[in-house]
Amino acid sequence: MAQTGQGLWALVLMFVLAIILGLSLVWVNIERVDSAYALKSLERTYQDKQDQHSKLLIERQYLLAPATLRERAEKAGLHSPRREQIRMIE
Amino acid sequence: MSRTAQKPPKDRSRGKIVFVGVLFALAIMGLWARAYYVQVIKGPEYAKMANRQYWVAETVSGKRGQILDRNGLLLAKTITTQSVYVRPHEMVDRWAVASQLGKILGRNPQAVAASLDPKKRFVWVDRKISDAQAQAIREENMPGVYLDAENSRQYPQGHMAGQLLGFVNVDGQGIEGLEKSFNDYLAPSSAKYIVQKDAAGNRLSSSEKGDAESFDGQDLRLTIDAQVQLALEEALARSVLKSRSKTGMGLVVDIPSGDILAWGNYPLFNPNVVKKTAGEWKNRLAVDIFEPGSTLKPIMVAAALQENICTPTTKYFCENGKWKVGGKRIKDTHDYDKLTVSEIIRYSSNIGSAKIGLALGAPALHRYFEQVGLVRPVGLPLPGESAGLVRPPGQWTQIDLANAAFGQGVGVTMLQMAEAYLCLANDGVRRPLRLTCTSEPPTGEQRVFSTEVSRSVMAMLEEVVQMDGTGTRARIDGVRVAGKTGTAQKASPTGGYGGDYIASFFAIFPADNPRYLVVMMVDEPQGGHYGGVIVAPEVRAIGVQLLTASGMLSEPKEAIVRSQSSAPKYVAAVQKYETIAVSTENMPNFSGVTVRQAVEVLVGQGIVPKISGHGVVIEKQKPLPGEKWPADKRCQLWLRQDPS
Repeated sequence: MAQTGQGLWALVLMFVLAIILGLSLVWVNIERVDSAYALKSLERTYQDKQDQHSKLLIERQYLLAPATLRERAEKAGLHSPRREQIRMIE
Repeated sequence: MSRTAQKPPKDRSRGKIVFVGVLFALAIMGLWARAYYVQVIKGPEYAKMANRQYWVAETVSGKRGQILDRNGLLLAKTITTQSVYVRPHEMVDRWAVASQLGKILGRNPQAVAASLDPKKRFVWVDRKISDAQAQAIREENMPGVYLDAENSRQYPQGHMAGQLLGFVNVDGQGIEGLEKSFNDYLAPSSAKYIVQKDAAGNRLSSSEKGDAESFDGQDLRLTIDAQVQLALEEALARSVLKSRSKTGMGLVVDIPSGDILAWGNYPLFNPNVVKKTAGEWKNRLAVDIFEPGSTLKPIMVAAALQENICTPTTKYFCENGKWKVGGKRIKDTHDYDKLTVSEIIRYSSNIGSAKIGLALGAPALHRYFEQVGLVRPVGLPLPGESAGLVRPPGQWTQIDLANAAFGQGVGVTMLQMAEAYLCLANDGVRRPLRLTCTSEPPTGEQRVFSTEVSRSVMAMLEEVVQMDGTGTRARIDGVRVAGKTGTAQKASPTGGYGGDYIASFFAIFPADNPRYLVVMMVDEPQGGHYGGVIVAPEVRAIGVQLLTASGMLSEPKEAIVRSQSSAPKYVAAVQKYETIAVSTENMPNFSGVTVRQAVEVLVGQGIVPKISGHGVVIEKQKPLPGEKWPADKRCQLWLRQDPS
């Protein structure tokens, strides 16, 4: 009788363990998918920022382009220095 | 009275239990059987179907590499832009969609509607639209209208070195210029990964994908210097427009390294707007063959000196300007009698050059042409580079040899000529031109002329500019300049030579310590065709900028004299302050002080003054002298032109 009781308890314990493991597996999977969603969202944000950074870099380079600077400088009445206007500091 | 004995009801519960038990057992067996069928028999098939539904292959690719100038200035970069497409069968109201898209994209709604054929499953409406347009489309949230990210190549410097850079097609493949020749180097790589997707089709992140930036193409750093490039392009534009020429091209080379600092073609070409240009992307510098004319004479003379045919002082009779060789007449611009070899270069005598060439002979002249690189492509990584057009010496007649000696009858590219001059400027050692930046010293050098010969020729080229030669308009005060003019007649399509010319000028700055080689050419100038008149002044302008920027240009003597003579006009009799007494509490008196001194004091107190009037001396100020320093950091200074 005692052996039968122990066997039954072992069976119940295994059943409970199996349930816990099963639920854990489901929980881990849900967490994984949630993390994947969050990660994807962060990746998208990062990519958007990267793209924006690239565009701003292009814009900055355009504004700093020698031709653009010269055009704006000439509009402001500036011009390249003449030889006698240059002093070399050594 | 009889009593009927009632039988106790039959206990069927056991049977019922067994029946139910059997039913359950059958049900469980059925379920097990079904589970077995689904899991074991059909399992692999269903697993495959599920995988198809939940896993998808995704291609990850990087961006095309950047192109930079030698100082790291961005010349080309790929960015992500949005393109708009429509699935016409998903649209609810075709006209409403067309109207909205037309309004946002600045297009005719009727034309948009016409393109949205309901029978089609997919229609591109516009590619590579602006961020603002993409955002407007996103906000409209129209059914059947989608945005897709695409890569777009941008050239932030606009037309700068446009023909050299080339451009890419809509798929990002280089199809012209350096974009084409370095396509494999610049192109990004890609890889396919299996990623999970949810029921809505959203793709989930996968740790296996890694960093997309690791797939980016490699960056390409050129030897081009954007500042020098701008100077060249502006000079080229001035020269072409002033002389009303068809086209122009120029090159600036750093002689010690062979690095090409500027590469100019005119008309300019902006690779950002390829569709709006008509054939202007042709890289004439590398592709077009022209007859170099007199600019070839120094190469021929160097060959003759090297072969001991003559010395710089050997005199040749120049036939008073007209000479017949093989029945053809050769002419000079002036009636020269006897000229030394140096004078032949200085005055650019065709007859004198022809005589030297005839004495040298075709095989020797051709051999030197070969050694300085005039009969094969220079070897820069550019698509379609020409090899020149110099016939084998065996095919040359006497007049061909005479013509070749002064640069007619042979076809070369500007690049080939630049490399030949680089050899002369580099003490007779041929140095390959370089277009991509490297910290390594030049390689593949080969001696062609002795140091003495190349220096003799350099001295002759210096006479062209510094004495009474044809290139006097390239003189720069305080710097010795070497140069050679070229005015070549263009071959007529009907045979012989017509009335069109190529004017060119090659210059080396400074002649005594060659640092820069500047070459420039204009095609078919109108109203004058001499290289020394049309091109030399603009080459000089580039030289001035190069030497000024590199600190090699000293202040001209005449400028010092001028500034001294005109000094009273600019020098104000300012109040002599050793130092301005600055109190921590009160404003000093700036009256009579120079602007510079006053501003230095104010900035030291964290005040940027507002300045009114003209001149260099402070007339009055607000706050007044002795008042407290302004808490709001506001201060105004008034200037006066002349000292009172």
